[in-house]
Amino acid sequence: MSAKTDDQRLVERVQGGDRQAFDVLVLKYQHKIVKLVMRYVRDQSEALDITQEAFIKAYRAIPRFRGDSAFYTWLYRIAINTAKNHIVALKRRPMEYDLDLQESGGYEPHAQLRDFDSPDRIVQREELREALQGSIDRLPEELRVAIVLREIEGMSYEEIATAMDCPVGTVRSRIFRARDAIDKAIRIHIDGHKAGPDT
Amino acid sequence: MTRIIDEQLSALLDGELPAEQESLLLRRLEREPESLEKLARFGLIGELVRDPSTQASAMVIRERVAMEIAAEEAVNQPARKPSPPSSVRLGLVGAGIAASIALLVMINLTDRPVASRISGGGLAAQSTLPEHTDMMAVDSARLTRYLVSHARYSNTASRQLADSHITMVAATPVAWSNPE
Repeated sequence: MSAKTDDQRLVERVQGGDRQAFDVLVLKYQHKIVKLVMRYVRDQSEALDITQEAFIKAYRAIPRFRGDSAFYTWLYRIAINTAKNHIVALKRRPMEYDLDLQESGGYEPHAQLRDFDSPDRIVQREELREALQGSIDRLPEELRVAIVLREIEGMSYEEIATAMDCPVGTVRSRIFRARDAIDKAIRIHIDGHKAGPDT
Repeated sequence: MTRIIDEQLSALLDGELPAEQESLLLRRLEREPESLEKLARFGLIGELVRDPSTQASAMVIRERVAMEIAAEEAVNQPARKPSPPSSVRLGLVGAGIAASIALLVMINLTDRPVASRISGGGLAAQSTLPEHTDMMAVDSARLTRYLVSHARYSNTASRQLADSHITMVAATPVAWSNPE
């Protein structure tokens, strides 16, 4: 099943009034969109705000989405436009910026944005990365192969079943068991991160 | 059961759930925030596997978007016209009104010391009593007219309560007209 097909069904549900289906789309793409937006703004808080705005715009426009492109492609364009508009709007409001920076002549709107990577957050991120890598290394081989083929190669369950010479149901079970094992290993680190950049 | 649902969540994320199961699971997500949280973590795990530098802070996005959409839709919802109250609710309201008025009247009837406190003393209290009784007669007449005019909102119980009040203050018992 291609990414377009499975997202298209969720999109159709949203167009039919199913708000929960939109929640699933947000969950699928929130991390990708934040990463994309952070190419334009380095401040994590701003990136989260812009991402939120992009999803809201997508929700409002989704009744008009005809499926000519993949949902993510369409969302990607909305996110980029939202980020660019945000930067343009900031340029029109110089008083919001650090006056010292303006006076020093080094006035670059997107460059002076604050970096919220405190030492604590750097350590947290490193701990999360280690916990993740450790949990993947400890997975039985069939689970590790299944999750890698799914998440990195983007293969469908049917394609993975062919590659691993097993039924689709087994693929589904292996991918779930891999996610579950990783979840148990990293959950405590995720909960610490969720509080946001200011905590 | 939880494990079955969690496996379905994993398949939902990958778009590999049959349509009927997808519908049921989406309805479940509406009432099970912990399942939504689990789905969110599965999504993050995928991103982390692809890019270990992924930050978990984006996990707040779904909740923020959901709240903003809910707020927008609440604002855009057309104002609902209040539905006409049923006869049962009318009866209850009538009973409540009648009960509270009856209680007030009874307090008036029995609470002579209040009148004396207001007036400030024994001889003064005695001198206010006739005036107090006149006021009560006026109030009773007004109360009777009120209860009769609101009869159609009353059920049997509230009418009996009001009728007993009217009897108590020696007005002529009113023949209630049956709204049915």
